[in-house]
Amino acid sequence: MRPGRAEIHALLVRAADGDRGAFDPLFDAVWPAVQHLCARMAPAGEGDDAAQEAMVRVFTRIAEFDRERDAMTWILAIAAWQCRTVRRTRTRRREDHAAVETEGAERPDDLAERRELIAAATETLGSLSDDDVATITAALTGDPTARAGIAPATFRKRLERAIAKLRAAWRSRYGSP
Amino acid sequence: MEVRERARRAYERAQIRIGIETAAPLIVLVPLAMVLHQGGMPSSVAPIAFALAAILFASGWRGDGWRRAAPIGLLAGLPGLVIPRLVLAPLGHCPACDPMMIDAATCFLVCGGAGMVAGITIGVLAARDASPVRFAIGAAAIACLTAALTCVVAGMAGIAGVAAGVAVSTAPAVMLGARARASL
Repeated sequence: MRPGRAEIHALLVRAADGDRGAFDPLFDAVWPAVQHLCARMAPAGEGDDAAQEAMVRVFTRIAEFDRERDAMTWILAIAAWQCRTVRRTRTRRREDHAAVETEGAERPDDLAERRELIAAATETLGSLSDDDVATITAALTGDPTARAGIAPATFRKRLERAIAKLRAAWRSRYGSP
Repeated sequence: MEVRERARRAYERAQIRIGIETAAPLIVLVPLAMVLHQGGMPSSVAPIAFALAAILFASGWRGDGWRRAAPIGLLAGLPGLVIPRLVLAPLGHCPACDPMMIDAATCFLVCGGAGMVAGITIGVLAARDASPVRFAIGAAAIACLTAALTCVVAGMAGIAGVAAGVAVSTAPAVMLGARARASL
């Protein structure tokens, strides 16, 4: 039979007073409840670790126990705090990982490659006529003044032709895009 | 490592920390004893200070009545620490710190009187404690050693006075307390 709250309180008071004989009964009484709480509160796969750490913290802080408080509430509050700590740590770890990945795209190698690509695209674009370049630039920037006086259907046809020429120029320089 | 074993180690570390905290008042008491010796540090004070530190640590670490006895023993020993200096200083021997100049009878009476005060206090509180015998023994030993930090200058007469005062007044109170508890 599981001990009740009053018995757990008495055991915790005895253990806090230095009675080593109260350690094992207290541990056996509260361990299932701490495990159960951490299994629900901690992130998946980390419930057992959180429960173990919570038990260590309970016995580390046993001298701080206020006898006016309910022992089980005090123990479960420590366990809940431990679960929150584990969750926060995991979230922070995930954020740090994401930040490293973002920074990774900006590494010098990647940056140089991107610059080379832009230079190649600019050079290919430079091989087209001024009208074709103006059409592609107007489409990319969405600048309405560049399309002034041109019917939308006409602009669309010009853009298709300019892109086809750009593809052909790229292919002739660098192979298949 | 199994969780129970980790928790037990954490528990024992916490008890050690409590033991250290229990002995912490010596940081104040030893300099106070030195001041009461007018800046001198008789060679006998150091072993008593070490013994007191050890017993305070052990009381705090062991817990139960021993732990509860520690602060009471220290407080009960304070009159024995201060009174001899205040009473005997006008006689002139404390500044000289010369055992040959001590009036042993006066010293015994003064230290014994301070010990009696300590003993009565301990006895009354021990009778109310859950572990009266542990409480009384622990507090009496700590009170004796606390008082001996200054009384030891007067030699064994002073220590015997404190010890006798504590023992004589504590024992009846503990016995009465135990009898009263048994009759309930």
